Amino acid sequence: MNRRHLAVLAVVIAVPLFTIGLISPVPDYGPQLETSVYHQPDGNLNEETPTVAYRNLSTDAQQLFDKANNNGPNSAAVPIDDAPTSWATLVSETAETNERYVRKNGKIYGVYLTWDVPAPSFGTVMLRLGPLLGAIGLGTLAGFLILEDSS
Amino acid sequence: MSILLVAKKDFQDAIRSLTLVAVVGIFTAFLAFYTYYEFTMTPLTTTTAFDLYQSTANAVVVIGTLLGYKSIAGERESGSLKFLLGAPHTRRDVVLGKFLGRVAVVVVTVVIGFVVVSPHYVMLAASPSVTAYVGLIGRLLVPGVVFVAVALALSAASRSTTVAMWGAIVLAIVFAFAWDMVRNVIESFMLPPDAGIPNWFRLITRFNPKYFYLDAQTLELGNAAPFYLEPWFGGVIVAGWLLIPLGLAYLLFERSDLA
Repeated sequence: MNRRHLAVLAVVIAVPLFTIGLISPVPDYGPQLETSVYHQPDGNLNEETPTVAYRNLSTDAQQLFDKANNNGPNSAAVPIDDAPTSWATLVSETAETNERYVRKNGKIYGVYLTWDVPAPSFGTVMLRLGPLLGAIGLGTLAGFLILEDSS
Repeated sequence: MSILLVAKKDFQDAIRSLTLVAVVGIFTAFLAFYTYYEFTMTPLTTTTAFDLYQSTANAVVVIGTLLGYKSIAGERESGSLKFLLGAPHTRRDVVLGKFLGRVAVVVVTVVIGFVVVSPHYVMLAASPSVTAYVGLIGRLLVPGVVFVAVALALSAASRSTTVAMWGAIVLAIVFAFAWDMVRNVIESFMLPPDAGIPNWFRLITRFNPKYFYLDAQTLELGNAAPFYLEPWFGGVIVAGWLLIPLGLAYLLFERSDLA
């Protein structure tokens, strides 16, 4: 197989790779509301600190609270558009954190709300960028091979 | 005509030495990565084609400088300059021909990079604009061409490629990176916080060929802006950046000994 054949082979592989890179989905990096729930031991809170009864939370907020509380890392994240309105409006791009206290079954829990934009995982990035960079590399290799062959 | 012959030979040399393919490949890969980064990893602001300018301009400055520094010093060091001047070319032809040949490499690199990445841009941008994209390419070519001229002047002034290379590296660092850092330090610590940015500071910013386009219109200053912030003055700055280095390159090369 001479250099010109190798160059054609590189281009033949590069074209579908480039197409795969282009049509790979672009992940949604929209902002999220990250909710962390921690049990507050008695005496840690000032008596004047306002607390909200669990039963007074909206259904969405109750579900998010339970999800975070039952999760291993004590936190759960939902897209900001799907988050309970009463909590989602407490945080923003400029005011990233807020804190609330919820009373449930006689215990007080601290609920830390964080406005966050998740960083894409390496795998997600490479799903699109990997084929593109691979295609560009193969195109460059094809150029090298053709020029070397002609000189 | 002689100028074009030298330019053509220089461009063909770049193709034969595989410099062009390597530079195009590296630039295109960088542009693909950077386009992806700008359009998907900074989701909080609406990204436009022009947001690709800052870092891409730095890359183009580096490319222009690296392509230019060896143009004359390299040929002098290898001895091929004597052969080139043995043909019926004057030294002026060599300087201008080399300049045009290297500029052609920069133009081809930038254009191929942007053409290859264009489908990627169309898929990622919320509202892709052909005009903005083409305008960005045109704007990026200016610092690239200017830094070819500056590096060529260094190349004409140096007897060895090592000296020319270090000069080019220092220049690229100063104009691509250090200028912005110094500007930010002055803006943050030396200018009064509530007084607004003075026009002289905008002029200093504009003296960097990367920012030649920053005029009263771009900065939304209205009609009260001084003449040096009007759009035509950007042309004066670019012309100065081209004519002074090329003139110096010619004068230094004309007077230098080939040995």
